[in-house]
Amino acid sequence: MNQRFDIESDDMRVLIVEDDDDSRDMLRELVQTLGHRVLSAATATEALEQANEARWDVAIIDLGLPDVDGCEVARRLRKLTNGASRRLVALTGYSDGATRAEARAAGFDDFLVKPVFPEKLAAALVPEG
Amino acid sequence: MSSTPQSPGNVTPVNCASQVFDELRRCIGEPAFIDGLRRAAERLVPALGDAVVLDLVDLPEAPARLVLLDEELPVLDVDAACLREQALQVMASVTPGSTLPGQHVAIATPPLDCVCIALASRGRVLGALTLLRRPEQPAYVRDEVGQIEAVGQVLSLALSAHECFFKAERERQALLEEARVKDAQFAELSHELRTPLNAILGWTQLIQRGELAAPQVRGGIDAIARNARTLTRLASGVSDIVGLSSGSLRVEDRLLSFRGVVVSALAAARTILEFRNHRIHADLGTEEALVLGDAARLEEVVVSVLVSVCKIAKADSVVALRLTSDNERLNLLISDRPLVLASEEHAEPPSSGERSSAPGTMGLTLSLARQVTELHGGSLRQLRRDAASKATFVIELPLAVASATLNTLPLTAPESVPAGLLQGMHALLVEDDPDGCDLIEAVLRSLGATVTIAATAHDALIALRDRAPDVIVSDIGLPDEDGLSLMRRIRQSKGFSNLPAVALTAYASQRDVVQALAAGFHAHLAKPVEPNELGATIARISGRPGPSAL
Repeated sequence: MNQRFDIESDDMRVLIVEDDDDSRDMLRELVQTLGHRVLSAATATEALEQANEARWDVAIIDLGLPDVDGCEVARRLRKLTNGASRRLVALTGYSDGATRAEARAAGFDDFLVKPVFPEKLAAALVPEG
Repeated sequence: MSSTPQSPGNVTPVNCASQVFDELRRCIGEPAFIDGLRRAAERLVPALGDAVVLDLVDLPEAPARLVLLDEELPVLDVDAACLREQALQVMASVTPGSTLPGQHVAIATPPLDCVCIALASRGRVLGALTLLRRPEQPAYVRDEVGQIEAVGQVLSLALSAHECFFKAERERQALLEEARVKDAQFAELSHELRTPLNAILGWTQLIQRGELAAPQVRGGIDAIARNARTLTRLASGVSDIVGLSSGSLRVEDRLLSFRGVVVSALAAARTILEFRNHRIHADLGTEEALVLGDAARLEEVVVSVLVSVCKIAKADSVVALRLTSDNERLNLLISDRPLVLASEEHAEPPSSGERSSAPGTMGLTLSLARQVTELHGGSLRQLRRDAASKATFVIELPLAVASATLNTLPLTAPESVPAGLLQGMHALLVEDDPDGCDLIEAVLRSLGATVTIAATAHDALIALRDRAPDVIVSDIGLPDEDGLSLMRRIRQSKGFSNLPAVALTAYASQRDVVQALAAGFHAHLAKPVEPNELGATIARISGRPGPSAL
């Protein structure tokens, strides 16, 4: 199944926040093959530093980070001047309604449940419609 | 019923039983049951008596005794102990299959008439009902006693039903709680399965596209293999959870070196340690830290903790392990903080004064590791993260034997020992079997020791007082008292707390070894004893230069 999961989109800068090394590396490869540039962080602290210093368009954030909860990262990113209007995608192993609601309240635009399929990730990077 | 006397208050005794039933049936199984009992007892006054005493046996969440008195009743002067004694007597006469036994007695001072009947269900005592009538009232007649028995039957039925409901409700709550915990574990499991699946699925699809360069493909395949192993560990964790909840999880009970367990765990976790470039600083001490337990499961515990620390710690950082023990417990600290660097060698472990995290927040594999540790009588805690450490875990386990004796376990027998190895030593040999005794005596003398022989524990204690030996060699199975108990007594005697002692027994299971060491022996040798081994062991525990040093 040599499927294609390219979605037409302009070159974006995607911030990947994931503490699991293998998942983060995989996401980096995947986002790069979709034609985007990648910034990556293993902790909330690193993520906030990166987001503050560099230009980014979308952030994919694992909710279970070791230092600060991913929802809190989303809230803090929203407070950054360059974060207010950016796209935030939550990535998590929890698929229950409470987690979804919490993510929405924290300011996420989309919610992806692991394991994430490449075409779903590709779709989540661009606004609906 | 025509002979039933009309009671004051215009309530017939016949009504009493049905009124009691009405009061109680609505509140069976409810917290309001006790209030219902009180109201039911009120219904008996004054129709069936001027005072009611209800003794209750183990009724959940109820007082042991309910007392209702008509106002101004001189019954207050009745000796409460006397009433209680009467109730106990009646309750004691309950047997399975008996109808409710009762007593109708007249109390002399003050002059009161009294009926007391047992409350029981299927031979199980639930309490006693006592009714008292003031002096000016006529004494109880047979028919009234019959009515009181009817009330007693209703009360017994209600008490028994209430107890059943209460127990059922309590069990229901316990099952609900169990189900809730299991739901939480499954949610956690689902979450923990998804992270490795994410890496496996993602990398697989990337590789399938065929656009990755060779090094990336290799890296991807490595990632797939690593995460498949993680999934395998989770799968065995699932069967362990099932085993834990059904009580069928088998944990072996063997004497083993925890130090050895840690060394194996480090080897097993090597892939992940290398992948993230962690440097290991392990200070495992020199002691074996003997524990009774399951080597494979304890290794899984250490691997789970190592993997967790590695995942939390920064790549390229140090992961430190330190194994220490006191007389009773061992303590393994695993941390991303370089605990064992020389400058911190004598620092207090971070456990002192630091708060541990709640076990439930540890995730599935760690929570399983914690449960397995607890099955071994130990604990697994995560210390609060601080600036210096994001991940510090402490595993504590009870030692099988006091650490003072750890270094004196028997070693393999040397091929030869020097003839004068025990020269000048006085040995007390405690052995009841004449043949065995002769052999050991000959061995000891051949090595240069003088020997006193005792055939019983009693003789041994006398010999000990007559002439203090340099070493005691004792059988465990003695005619008057076993050798373990003898050794415990010797250890408590003044001047003999450190007397070198060797146990000789035909029983050589690991538990026997542990018991001997725990009783105070320094070494345990199984019969038949190799002469060289006995000599070398005595030399070693007495601090003499052993064969290897000569």
